[in-house]
Amino acid sequence: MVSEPKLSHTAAIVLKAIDAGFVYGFSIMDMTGLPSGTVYPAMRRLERDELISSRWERQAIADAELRPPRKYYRLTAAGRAALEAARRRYPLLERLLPAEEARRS
Amino acid sequence: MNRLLAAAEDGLLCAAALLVPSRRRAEWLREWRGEIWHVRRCSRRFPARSADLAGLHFCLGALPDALEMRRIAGTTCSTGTTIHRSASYCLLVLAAILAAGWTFALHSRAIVAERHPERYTVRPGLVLVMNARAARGSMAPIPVELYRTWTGVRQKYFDGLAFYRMERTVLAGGRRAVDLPIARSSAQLFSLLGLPMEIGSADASAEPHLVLSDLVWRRDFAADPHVLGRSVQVGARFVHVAAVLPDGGWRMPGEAEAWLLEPDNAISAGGAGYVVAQWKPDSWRTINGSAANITACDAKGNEHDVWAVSFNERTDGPWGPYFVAVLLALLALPALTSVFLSDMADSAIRPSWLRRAVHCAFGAAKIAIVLGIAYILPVDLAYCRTSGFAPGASGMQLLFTLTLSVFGFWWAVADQRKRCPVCLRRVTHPAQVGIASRTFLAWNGTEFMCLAGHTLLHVPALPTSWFYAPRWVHLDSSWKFLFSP
Repeated sequence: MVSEPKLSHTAAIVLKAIDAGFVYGFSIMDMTGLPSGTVYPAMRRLERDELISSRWERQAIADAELRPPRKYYRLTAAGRAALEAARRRYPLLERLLPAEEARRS
Repeated sequence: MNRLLAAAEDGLLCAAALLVPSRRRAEWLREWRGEIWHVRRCSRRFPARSADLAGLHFCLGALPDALEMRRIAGTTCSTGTTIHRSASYCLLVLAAILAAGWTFALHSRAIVAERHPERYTVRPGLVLVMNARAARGSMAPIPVELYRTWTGVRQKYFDGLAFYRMERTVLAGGRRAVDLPIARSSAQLFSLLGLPMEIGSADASAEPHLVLSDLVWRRDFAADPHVLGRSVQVGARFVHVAAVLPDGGWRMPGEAEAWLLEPDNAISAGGAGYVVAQWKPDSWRTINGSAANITACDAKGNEHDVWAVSFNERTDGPWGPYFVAVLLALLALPALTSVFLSDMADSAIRPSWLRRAVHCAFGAAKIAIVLGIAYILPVDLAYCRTSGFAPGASGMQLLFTLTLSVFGFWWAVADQRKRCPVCLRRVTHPAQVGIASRTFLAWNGTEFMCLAGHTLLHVPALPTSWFYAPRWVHLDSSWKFLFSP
């Protein structure tokens, strides 16, 4: 039986933010209020553990919006399972930002 | 202001990027530069001061992120480990230390003087007169009243005397008023020292002369080529600039940045200073060694013992203390560590003579660079505050050189002992093998391995007559599968 990954509180918040639709670094910082020195290293660890994956936005889209391209993150299947486990471990995580609300905004 | 902050943010990102493994650096930097665009855009909603600093605050997070990237890369690949154990990395680090020391030394006044001895030759027979009641070599000064008494009577030993005393005074007339260490000196000081410079004509003005150091001329007078003859204010007095002393030209006690030349009777009474004297040639030849003890009388007829120490001794270069310290370090080395390098185990596989020559050349290169470092760093440290090779600083140089040489030789031998004879990488992953009770039946000690799979190094825990030095075991091709990437 494969044991469930045990995430730190910070990692769980970052996973939750990505699941809620905040899919690039600064938006996760903005939503969670965590500093850059916490969010980015947490994302590196999550990516190393294959709980999230990243891809670069197409240059044409960024050019059209007159900004540099973003690196987007999304949950992997393992990441979704880890987030479910984290929700059970940290019940207050749900109150941080309801996913539906984020998706509407 | 915004441009400055943007440059600081980018500088911070670039500096942090150096910590990121090179193959991921460009992508890492691209992500952070993209993200900071959003930070700047969103910071407009903050108060003005917070908005200015938001980007900088954000960029501070790049440092832990870069360190995390480095840590992750370290756990997933061994490239970094392999590089920092390589011979070229070792030589590069040593060469960088040597280059840094040498760069610093190029700006040291003492080293400049050493490199251009023709500019700073000291007349034969020139001595510094010191109070003999103080410890020898401590450069004890002479009261100005005693000096005046000497100048008023016929001298038996000296052809000429000059006095100077250090004071801190405000110099106004350059770009701004500055508080400087100024030497209030006899008018004949520079002619007595025989320094290669022309003092402007005294007839042109009744004002005293001021000689500027090269540093003050560049820093406070913007290297103005028309500074000679200009009237400036020293304290409450107006003086005119008579000359600029070349860099490194002043090698006497006291860190003077300007010299106020005035008649002896104009130097205010009280206090003490340094007396420079020119020994008569026929008298000097009768003196053995570089110092002489003489008795001088003051105005009341009281006798004073003084030392006259030759400047030729004071201006000896740094090589003497260096060679002594290196010799002492070499003699001390066998007491600190075994000088035996490693043996080869009985094996059919042995490195070629070319490999062994490269191994020896690597050890020689390390020793050569260590010798260079042991010369240049102590010179930097000991003479950074002096303008010449003074005896006190020579003692410091000797101590620093001895410390660095002993540590450097010990490290070079220890490092060489752990370098794989085939690829020159440092062996790693120590493992305890055997138990103490097996020392006499088999062996008991620590086993290191070469990461490239060439060798194992066996280091006995308890040296015995048949196994006293570390021993290399060469691995054949059957071990290759263990080390394949």
